[in-house]
Amino acid sequence: MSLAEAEPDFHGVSEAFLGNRERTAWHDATLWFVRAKRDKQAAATADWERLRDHAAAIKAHVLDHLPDLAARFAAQARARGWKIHYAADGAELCAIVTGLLEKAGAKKVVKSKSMLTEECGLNHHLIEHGVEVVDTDLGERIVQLRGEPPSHIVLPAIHLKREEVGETFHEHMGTPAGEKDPTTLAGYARADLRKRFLEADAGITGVNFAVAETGSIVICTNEGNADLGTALPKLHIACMGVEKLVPAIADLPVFLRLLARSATGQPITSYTTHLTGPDPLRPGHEAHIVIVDNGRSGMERDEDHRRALSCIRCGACMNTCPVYRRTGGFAYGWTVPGPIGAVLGPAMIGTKKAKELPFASTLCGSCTNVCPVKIDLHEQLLSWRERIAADGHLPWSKRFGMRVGAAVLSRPWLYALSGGVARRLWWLVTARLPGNPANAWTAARDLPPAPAHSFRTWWKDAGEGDGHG
Amino acid sequence: MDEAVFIARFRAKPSGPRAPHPGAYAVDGYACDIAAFARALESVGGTMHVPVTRAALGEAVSAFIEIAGHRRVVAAASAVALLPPNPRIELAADPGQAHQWHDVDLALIAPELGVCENAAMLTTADSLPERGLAFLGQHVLALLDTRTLVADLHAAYGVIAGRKMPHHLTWISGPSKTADIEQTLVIGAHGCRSLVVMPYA
Repeated sequence: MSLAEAEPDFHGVSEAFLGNRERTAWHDATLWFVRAKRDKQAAATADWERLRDHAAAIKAHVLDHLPDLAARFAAQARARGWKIHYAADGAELCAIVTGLLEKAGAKKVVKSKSMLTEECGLNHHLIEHGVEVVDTDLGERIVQLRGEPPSHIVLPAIHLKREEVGETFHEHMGTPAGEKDPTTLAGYARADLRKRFLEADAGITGVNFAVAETGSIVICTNEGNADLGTALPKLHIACMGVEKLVPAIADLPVFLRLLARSATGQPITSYTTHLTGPDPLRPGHEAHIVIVDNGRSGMERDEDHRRALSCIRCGACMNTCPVYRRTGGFAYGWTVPGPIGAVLGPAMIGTKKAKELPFASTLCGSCTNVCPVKIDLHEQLLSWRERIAADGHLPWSKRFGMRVGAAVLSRPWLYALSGGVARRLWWLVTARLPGNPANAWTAARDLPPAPAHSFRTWWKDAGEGDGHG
Repeated sequence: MDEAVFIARFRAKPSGPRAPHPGAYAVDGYACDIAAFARALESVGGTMHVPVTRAALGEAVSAFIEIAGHRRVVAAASAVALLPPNPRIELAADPGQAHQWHDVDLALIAPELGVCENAAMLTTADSLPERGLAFLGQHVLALLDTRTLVADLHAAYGVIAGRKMPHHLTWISGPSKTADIEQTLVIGAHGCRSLVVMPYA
């Protein structure tokens, strides 16, 4: 079962994560460290805000011209020898990739990080079809060995401590028990994965940007895994969502200057590779691109939320989010966690399944402030809340509470009466509510004492606005 | 799925005017000198060799190989062209067959230009048809002509503009690295374990 089929249980999973306070504090601090690295880079880039504006403007242009750009990209890419395939949804992507691998007789596949293929459940599908698929990004490899999905789109294993990584490697790769030094552990993974790169029949990659002007795709990694995965095997399959298109080569530096700075606080990733068709120096080399919809056309038509398709998957909104940092990525229950995940989730898996996600936010707006392409994330979260309410997916407690609130607040006499009653019965509430598991808001908060008088009484006593109040 | 059917799922802009492209981006403020490049290189985990003259390049490369004790040293044709004959350096013949470089200790490359903003160096199918070499070599030594330095990434793409896109084009900025285990930086993930830039003029 792919993640998209399950219903996220934000409260349940986050509560379990929060149960380990030491772990939560560590997770929070680790992600804040990444946020601080991003801040340092942003501050050192004199034109940062202008760059964000420009990137947002290019993305707005792209969203308004997707059919033209997609057609242009396909024509240019074909002219350079790429084979182009189209998938309406995840199932079609899986079928296309499996078909290509079968046709080539490819049994061993090395894969570099691609959130799209996570979203479409490709790994699971390939394994079911007898393909040995190995994730090669170190973080993805760690979670793959553990049978877990990534908990962050840039740092897939950020929820794990070094000791746990050591145990995982010991269990699955036979490395010495108790090893926990990150350099040593990364060295074991390097040795193991190098063999797999050399033996692979095919490489599957994601796509960071697809250039309509030239039919090129751009892939960014720090590890060099996408480069080894495409330079060695005879077959390359790149999987991309249609929103990865950019018009021209000259647009790339705008995004490349923002992406790594926002993601990990680097001025650029170690390797930024542009590939245009199969390699003419390698006889028999095949290069395919699968362009995927999987809910994107629905988002494109949704005026309120189409801007979220501008996302370049840097993860900055997660690193800064006070909720994500404390709940961990698994709480969000589908491929993309954090603020952008809570915005994409309802669009991709529906408001019913994702009904909790837009509420996993304080609406503080920090995500919006760090987004390199200026997606108004907190506004979108709010608007999804409205949509979820309109679709009737709010829990009864919220629906009922809101109805009572509306009834009281729209009738002054009832408001005055209930105020008086509440003041008299407040002692009961303060005695019972704090710490009561039935109310999450007061689980960790005390209630203030009730005032002796209402504002109205005070106003009357003070002389009804005679200037002395 | 058929291309026309797929593209028809997207409607361009549902209503109102479509957003125009914002046009060219103008940037300034980045220094364009070897010191700026060296600072950026250090920040991405690379090492700057002292500058050498074009005439002394061969000697400097020989000394580098001897001191580091590298066994199998393979050079891209573009790097070989810069050096006097050296029996220690093997030419990367048959550039499409990357598997042959699985045991290379040192890969010698000659990038086309360097970017001072981020220490990215341009390699393409023209300067590095032996693409796999730069990723399989345990260590990389890049010979960089300091006259090719540009200030920022926009200027760098300006150099590429107008050229037919080569099959591959990679910006290499420092050695391969990962921080996937507890955000601890590890240099040498899957690609090279170290990257030294030897600037010459």
